[in-house]
Amino acid sequence: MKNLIKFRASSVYKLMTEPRSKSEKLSQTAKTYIKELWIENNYNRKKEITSKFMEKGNLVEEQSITLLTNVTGSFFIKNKENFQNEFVTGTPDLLYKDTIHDIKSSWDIWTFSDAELTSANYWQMVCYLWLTEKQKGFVDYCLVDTPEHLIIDAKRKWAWLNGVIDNDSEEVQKVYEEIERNMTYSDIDEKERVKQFEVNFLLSEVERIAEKVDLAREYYNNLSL
Amino acid sequence: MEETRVSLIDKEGFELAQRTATVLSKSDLVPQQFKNNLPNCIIAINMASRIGADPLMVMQNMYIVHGKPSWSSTFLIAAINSCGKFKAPLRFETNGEGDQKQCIAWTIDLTGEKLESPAITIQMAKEEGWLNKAGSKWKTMPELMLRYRAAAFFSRLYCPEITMGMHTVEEIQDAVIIKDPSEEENNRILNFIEKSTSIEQLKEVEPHLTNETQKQKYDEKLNQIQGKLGL
Repeated sequence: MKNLIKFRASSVYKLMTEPRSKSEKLSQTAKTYIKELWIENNYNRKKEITSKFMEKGNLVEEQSITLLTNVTGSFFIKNKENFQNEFVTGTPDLLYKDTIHDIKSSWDIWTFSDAELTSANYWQMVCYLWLTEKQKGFVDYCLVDTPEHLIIDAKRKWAWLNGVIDNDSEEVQKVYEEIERNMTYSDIDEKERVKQFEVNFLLSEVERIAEKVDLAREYYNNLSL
Repeated sequence: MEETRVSLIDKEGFELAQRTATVLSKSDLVPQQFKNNLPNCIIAINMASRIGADPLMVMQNMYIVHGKPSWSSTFLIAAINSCGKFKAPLRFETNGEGDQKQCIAWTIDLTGEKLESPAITIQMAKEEGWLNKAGSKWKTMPELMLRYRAAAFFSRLYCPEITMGMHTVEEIQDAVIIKDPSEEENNRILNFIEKSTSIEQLKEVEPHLTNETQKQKYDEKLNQIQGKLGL
């Protein structure tokens, strides 16, 4: 029997990347992802991809929600409900009246400054709008303080790379202060630390996702080790 | 005449601590966290007084990590060796290989009984997440870290009065301190209630109230806004 697998909203952008030639239906990125998912589902082996960026994102999510609440004056609370339809599944960060919000916590002030609506975030939001039957969504980039243990890690890493023996020397303390300043942002006005990108529901985009999911399922069901 | 001792809770003792701290805080020989920082100096002087050590020695071996004062491991070992409770200096016994490599800190007390710390193993360092942290000294100096941690555990069991509840620098650096998300959510709800200026805005938070404090603040704010509107 064919497996009608559902794809996670956060990964749908991989399916949506265009193949290099018109003769191909799925891109190499899409195929690689589908194979990883197939191995995960059939053999319980997951390619672990974790990074300091993801770790910060997970740890400061609540602080980012607080920042968004303070800046917009609207009350936001973390959504825990998972939604699914025939094709995709996902858990939007925030449901607020007729809108959806997806929080992205930037690693530092430079990545925040460069933040834009990426393909990954766009398709993820399209899926959320589809799943919740809402018309409008926002991808919210937030800049909040890095958790203290990650700051300590950064200091230790620097100290190790530079062969620091005396942690108390003035030079070392100055570097530590700079590391800390670069990873904390409470001195910057809250309004400057939120960037919103609006995404509107489009039926044509949803049809494109459904089409790709069909192709992805076909590929998935013909995989072997 | 009775000698005045440094204290945080009696007038003369506190004045003495303040005077001593003023002098030390102006010295170039004290570590960065004590320079021109009278409160930190007073705390260090008080600790030195409690454990019978020299204030400058305490300052040079006390670090502020994650906002918590902590001892250097070498100071802790020196304090155990000189506290007078044990017949011999602290010894370290290691055995095993790889993840099973372990270290026990031990000594003999005044009655002749052998006192041992719990065994610290590389496996424990891995499972506790000490080894995997960026820049972790467990990766590069495991032998030293095993001994430091065994000494810290020993002191906590057999002479806790030396550490006064403080951990070593290495222990605090190894600990992962993560904020409780529910605490952040609770504070967000309370702040939102506090800042709300209209009934419509306040009502947004109503479905999410989870405890009595939130409900009480909500009712108070609602009454306050209704009062202003003459409702």
